[in-house]
Amino acid sequence: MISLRTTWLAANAVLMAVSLWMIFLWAPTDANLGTVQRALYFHVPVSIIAICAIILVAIGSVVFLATGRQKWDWFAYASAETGVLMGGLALVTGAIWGRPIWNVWWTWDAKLTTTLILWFIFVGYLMLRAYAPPGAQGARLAAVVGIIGAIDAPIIYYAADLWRTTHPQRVAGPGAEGSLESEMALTLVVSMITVASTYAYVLLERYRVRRSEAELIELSQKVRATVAA
Amino acid sequence: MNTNLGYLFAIYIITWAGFFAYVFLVSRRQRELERELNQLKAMLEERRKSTPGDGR
Amino acid sequence: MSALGPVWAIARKDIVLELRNREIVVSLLVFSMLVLIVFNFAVELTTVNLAVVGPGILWVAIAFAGVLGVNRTFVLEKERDALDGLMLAPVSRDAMFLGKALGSFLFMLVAEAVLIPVFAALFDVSLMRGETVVVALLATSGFAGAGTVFAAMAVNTRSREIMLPVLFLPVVSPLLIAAVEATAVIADGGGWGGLGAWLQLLGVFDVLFVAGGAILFHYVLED
Repeated sequence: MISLRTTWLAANAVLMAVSLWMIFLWAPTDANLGTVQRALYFHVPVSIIAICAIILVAIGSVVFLATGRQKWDWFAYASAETGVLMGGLALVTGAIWGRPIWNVWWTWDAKLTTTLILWFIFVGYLMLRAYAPPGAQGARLAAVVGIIGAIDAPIIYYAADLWRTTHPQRVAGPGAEGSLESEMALTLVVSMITVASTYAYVLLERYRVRRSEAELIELSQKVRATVAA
Repeated sequence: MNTNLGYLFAIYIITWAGFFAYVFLVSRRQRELERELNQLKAMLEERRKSTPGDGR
Repeated sequence: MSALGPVWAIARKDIVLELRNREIVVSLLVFSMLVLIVFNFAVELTTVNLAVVGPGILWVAIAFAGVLGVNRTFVLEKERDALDGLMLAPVSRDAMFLGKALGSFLFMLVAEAVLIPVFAALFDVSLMRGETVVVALLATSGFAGAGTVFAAMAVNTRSREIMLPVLFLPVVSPLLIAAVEATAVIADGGGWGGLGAWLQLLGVFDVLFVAGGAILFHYVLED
């Protein structure tokens, strides 16, 4: 298994190198937006993965509540933590990208608003795990939050969208892109694969840490039992 | 032409820094955990050796 | 219907307790009115933007007070160790959820019955119409439903005064948006037509969270 991980890690490194070359050297410069448009190749994959993370948390939470098998809780937690990371990156890169293009750091359009609110929901998930009593109960409560968050996501988007059409702002948010030239599209696809693969690797690592933590607790309980006897 | 390269650089560096910082933290935690786990396993083995059979 | 029996029993217990102490409704009222007053200093209110900003302030006040109120319904149980007793009772978890939520719903409604006229007077916004009642009913049931789920969660954590708003407010944001916009439509003189989309949103949220809350409550109050 170790060699598989190392191979995967090496593959990720290669993917990163290739996509960096494509992003900065191969893809053509956008005629309207200039060089800064290349930020798209960072921001879009990160955002998509952040949304996937939410779905993964929901899946892990549902299966954990249904079966009670701990590994699904480890999976949900790892997805939540990595999801918060990706969501945070998506928000920050989106803001930095927006500034030169639309001249504002933030705009309350439906996508950004939904991303922000969902980010807070999953930060709440992590906080709950930190503050809840350790063990199965904390895991169960967090699973409920994960499920509620996923169910709420489309409602939040719908509400933010409705709100936005009632109060249209001057600036159109991201997503108001034109179509991409074929080289740009290919660069985006490669970047997407790179981010997805790297994310999956990091997710697996976080999962392993979670599993090791659980092993540790179990083992230290055994040791304490032998001392007591 | 104003290329706003500063912003692009910021995005690039933040994305990579964020990723790698997280990976680094996770790996470090994993190493600590493995060390503790091995220590505990060794402790358990010693206990098991030093108390042969069920003493009561 | 025997299914309603335990729901009402739990709600009635909370209501009787409240009639004796009047603790929750009074706190809801006082706190929400304080929020209104603080906002009055925080926001430059001219006659132009009163109708625009006012509804937002009203529902922020209700939401913040609601967080406190829904928190109290579980903290009281936890303090008197009644939570364990409640969980041991032969009542299904959904009935428990509906009973608690019903109690919170009624308390909030009573507070709003006073708060909304006070707000309308203070901020010179015309709100005293049937449409407001419908909006308040729909929004409050959503608050009570979602609030009960998260309050039951938060009461078991170390930092429950923080955890409840942190969990509750983002989830309930569509409800807030809809309530504020609907109230703004009413304040502006609009009628049922302009309210349609917002009422729909409120309704969908309510259904999802009351039903979902009842189902998920099994996992929240397990032991």
